[in-house]
Amino acid sequence: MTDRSVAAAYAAALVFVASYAVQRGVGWWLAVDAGVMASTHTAFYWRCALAALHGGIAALLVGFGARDPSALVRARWAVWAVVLPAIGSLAVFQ
Amino acid sequence: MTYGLWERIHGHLALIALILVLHPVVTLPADRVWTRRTAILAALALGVPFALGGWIYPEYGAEVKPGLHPFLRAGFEVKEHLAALAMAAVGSGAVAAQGGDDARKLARHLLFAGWCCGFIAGLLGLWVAGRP
Repeated sequence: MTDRSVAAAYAAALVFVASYAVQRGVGWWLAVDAGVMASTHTAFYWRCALAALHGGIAALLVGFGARDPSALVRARWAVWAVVLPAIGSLAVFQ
Repeated sequence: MTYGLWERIHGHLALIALILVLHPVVTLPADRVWTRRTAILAALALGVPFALGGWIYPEYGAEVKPGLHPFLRAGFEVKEHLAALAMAAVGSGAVAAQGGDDARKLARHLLFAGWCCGFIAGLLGLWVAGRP
């Protein structure tokens, strides 16, 4: 597995996590969750699908366009820089 | 009744998958074939309860969710959120585990982050499953 493939998968995961957290935050901000999430299951699927789409686009961009993919692979700190705020946002967006 | 059965299967499979995710987290410093394989297996194993959770979600939304206390309902929404994050992190970690030294170091971080999300999701799942 090349660094380019790994970097693409890594970018996809980071963007997926960030996208999902932002969508949840926007839903909370617009007060969509309170009404919609209580009565339907659509929002969860849409969030996942949209986050996956964003992740896929990021993977394509990094996979085909990154000049130095190994630099992204070495940026392990970004895992926690993205995941921890996403987890923390759960406590806020309720 | 059917929902309750699938809910339990979903929970047990998720538990097995979480245990499996820990294996590459612990053993990835060594470059071994089976460590790489278990990273893939762990991602696939986690994908099954995730898909199962998505499959039973409409029934949960229609039959269980309306009767839940708002606090429990919010807890379940957090669980979904964490499950999605865990799936993304573990899936990416499984890919990274197939790479070189730097990629395997990255894979440990991703898999551990995914495990943490999955673990908290599991605790929330237990809490919601034990609803009054």
